[in-house]
Amino acid sequence: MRNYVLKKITGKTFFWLACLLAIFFFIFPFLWVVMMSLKNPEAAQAVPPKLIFTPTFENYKQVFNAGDFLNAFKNSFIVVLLTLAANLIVALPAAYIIARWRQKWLSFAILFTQMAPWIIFLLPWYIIFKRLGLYDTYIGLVLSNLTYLIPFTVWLLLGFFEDVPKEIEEAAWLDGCSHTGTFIRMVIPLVKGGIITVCTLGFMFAWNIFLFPLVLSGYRSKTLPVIVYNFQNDNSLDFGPLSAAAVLITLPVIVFILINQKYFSRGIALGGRK
Amino acid sequence: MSDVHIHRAGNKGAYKEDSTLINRVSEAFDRNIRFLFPLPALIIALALFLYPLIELFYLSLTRWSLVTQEPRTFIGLGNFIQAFTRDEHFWKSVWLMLYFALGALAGQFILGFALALLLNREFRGESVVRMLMLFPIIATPVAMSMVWVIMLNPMMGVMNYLLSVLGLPPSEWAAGSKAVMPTLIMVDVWHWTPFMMLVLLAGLKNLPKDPYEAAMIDGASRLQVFFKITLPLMQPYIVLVVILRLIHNLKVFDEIFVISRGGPMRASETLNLMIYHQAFTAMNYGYACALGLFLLLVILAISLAVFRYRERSWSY
Amino acid sequence: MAEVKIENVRKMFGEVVAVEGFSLDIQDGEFIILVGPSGCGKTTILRSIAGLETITSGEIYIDERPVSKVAPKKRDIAMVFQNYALYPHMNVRNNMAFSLKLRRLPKKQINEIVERTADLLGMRSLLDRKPNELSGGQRQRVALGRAIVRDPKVFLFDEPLSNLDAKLRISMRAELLSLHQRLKTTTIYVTHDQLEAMTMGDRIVVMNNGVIQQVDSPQNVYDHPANRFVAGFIGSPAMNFIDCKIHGDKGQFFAVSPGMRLKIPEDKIARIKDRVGQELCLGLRPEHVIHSSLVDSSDPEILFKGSVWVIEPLGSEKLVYLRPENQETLIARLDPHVHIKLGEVADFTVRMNLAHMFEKTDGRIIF
Repeated sequence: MRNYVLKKITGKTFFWLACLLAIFFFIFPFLWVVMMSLKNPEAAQAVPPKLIFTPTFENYKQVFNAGDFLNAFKNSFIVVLLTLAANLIVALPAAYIIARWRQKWLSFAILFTQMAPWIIFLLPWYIIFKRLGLYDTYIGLVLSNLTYLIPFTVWLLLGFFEDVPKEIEEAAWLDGCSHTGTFIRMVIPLVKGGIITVCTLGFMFAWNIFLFPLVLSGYRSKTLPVIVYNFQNDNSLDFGPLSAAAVLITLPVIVFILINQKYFSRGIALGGRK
Repeated sequence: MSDVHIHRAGNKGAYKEDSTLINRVSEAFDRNIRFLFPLPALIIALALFLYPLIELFYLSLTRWSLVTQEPRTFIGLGNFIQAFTRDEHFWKSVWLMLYFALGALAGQFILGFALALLLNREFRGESVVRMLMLFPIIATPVAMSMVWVIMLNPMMGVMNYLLSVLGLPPSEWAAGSKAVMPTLIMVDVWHWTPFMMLVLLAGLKNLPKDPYEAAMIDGASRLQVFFKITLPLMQPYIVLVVILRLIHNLKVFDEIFVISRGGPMRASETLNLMIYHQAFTAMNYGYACALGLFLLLVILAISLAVFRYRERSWSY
Repeated sequence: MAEVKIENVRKMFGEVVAVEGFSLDIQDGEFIILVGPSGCGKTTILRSIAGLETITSGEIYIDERPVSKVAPKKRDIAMVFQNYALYPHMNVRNNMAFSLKLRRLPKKQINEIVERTADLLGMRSLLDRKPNELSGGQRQRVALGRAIVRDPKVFLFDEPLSNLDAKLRISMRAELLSLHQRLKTTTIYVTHDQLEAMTMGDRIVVMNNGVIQQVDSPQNVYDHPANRFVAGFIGSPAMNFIDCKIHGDKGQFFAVSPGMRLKIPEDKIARIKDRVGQELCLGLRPEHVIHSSLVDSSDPEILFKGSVWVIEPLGSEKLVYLRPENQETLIARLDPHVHIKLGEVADFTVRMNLAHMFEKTDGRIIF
């Protein structure tokens, strides 16, 4: 009897220990960067690292004043919002039709677009965009995002659209609704959950994407990931301000996803299950 | 009796043909939404996906470098021959790509599965733990890579400090040509294990309870239960997520680029990075496209295998 | 209120013919029922009338207007679906008001119409609820209300009662009929339940394998089935079918099968006299098989013996499953108070003047 209780207690302790260890491993860099962002230069470079120090917002000030940071912040927001809007406008009707008239080759095509290595597009895009004057523009960046996001959105939403019973559409048609009207007033409200999931994952993608803007954006339309990389690359900032920059760029996306956590998790589950 | 019919007079003829131009256009649109709805998506796919692929294919057969001011010339398979036979780094980059992909996959899988098994129970604070686990997936990879750079700094970074606390010698991390790949793998494992864990956890939670109850009655040990019941039942999930992550790992760019940039001395220049460098640093457009085409075909082959596998496995 | 005329409609799905040679004239204000087993094409025809399916050939006229190329929304037809197809994200009021809003009617008028219809169906209290808060029967009513509100030329019903429990089904049948009396809208109703068909229709259209088998009033279809299929489909319990041979004997003719020798009535002899020696199919309704205790004349030519296999006392009648010698089971509908025991071999007689004879090959009716 005592053995069993002992086993249970050690079992539970082991579980919580393992849990704590795992959480620590994954969360540590976040805690660290926040700490670093509040340290003054000496504290930041101290070895062994100081755990107790007087926090300062100097680093954040430096980041805000660093040339293009605010511009990049604005750019990121604009590109993300434009991307999400354009994505819905283009992908929703396409997904609707594809869901009603399923083709096997289409499934493969969509699958392939998600697997393709994006680096191979960057050079052709760079050449084409420069030719068309889309280099260093919002439209260019949005287009590059859409190339990934649209197949992804279509694939994610197919199941949602298929779940809308055809009879509801038929009832609407008989009631006098046009096909387009039925799509907007009947079908879309019924796939709301899917739409929010798509926007949540899409926000994360568009905010975090680095490779596309690295090549396709220039001085005016640079987004946050590129700016942050620039900070590090030309050593213009020290550890403290660099950390502040990292915090500033990561914060919006983490907050946004956590607010929509339910939809994010659902999106991941769909991604694993297919 | 006639009360119900009062409204009849009002709306008869509601559908009289209103043949104004706007109406005719919108009716024509409505009749053809089967083609019109997917059209914008199709245009984008053709212009930004298909056409660049064609351009990629064509360019891979040319010699075009912005460094030498030569005009673009058609050289057939010349780029490929050079890559396969004369470029010393090419096969190394392929090897590094595979090394990274499989190493990261192994780390993510083992750690992810272990955590999934650990968390496969009901406990207080489950939602908090899950939420915290999401952080590495959500956070902007470039930013977190930069954080890792700071932490991995051989002289001032906290990672070497932690090693010293544990009594271990310091490492060069991303600065050392031997240590850079394991370092990058570690960062990628940190980044994506939670995703692997969540998918496997969802799979575990979906498993039927009956075999476990039967095993309990039969007196099987935990190890036996794991190998004889859990693993076989999880097989579809495992295969799927492993292949998906493998393909994803082959394409990793952000972390490697930010942390090591392919260095030191190209020790971590995977094929992906090599293509980037050839295209945008060395400006060997033709050569870069050839390398890109090679990568594309590799991934295409794996995707086909995935697709065929799914078609087959879903038939039982 | 409208006439519907269906002319030689054929509908194919790929290579499969779902409906063939379908022609029907439906009068203004009629309640006509399409009945048949699953897959007989009745729903296909209904959907074709609605415009939800395009017909392969033929034409459909609503009030003399050909509509086969006209979009559903312009046909002025309302349909009640089997699964109600209510708009899940709208409350009951908006479900009913939707079509009126599309017509741009003034808000006040819309509310009036919706509320009056809700009163008609006893649904006032449900107006602000959403479909997922309603029971099956209530959803039924909303689907009905949605159709009524449109005041269409034709009502189409696609097996609307099949998802309700038995008791609700009966009360809804009555309600639908009383609504029809009030509204007098032409109604086309599809069901696979022959009881529903019999109790509700002015006329019923029996279908099988995409082809109309018979169109007539319920009683006529019952009394004078056009072929073996209709005879066996309509009526519950189903008609008994006995394979028999025709024997002639001194000017009299008999339908003979093991254990039975049944005399063909005088008025039917003309149709049977050149069929001596051939195998035909005799149809007897259960109520035309009589227990000998209830008959005065025991004409030996009409008796047969059967062993009692199963007795189902239903209160108002007794269903007795008989096994005459070497025969398949016959069902007899007896008076509830007849004394009869399981396993007993009893004498039965048959009302041959109400019997039917069919071709064995294709089920065509002989008499």
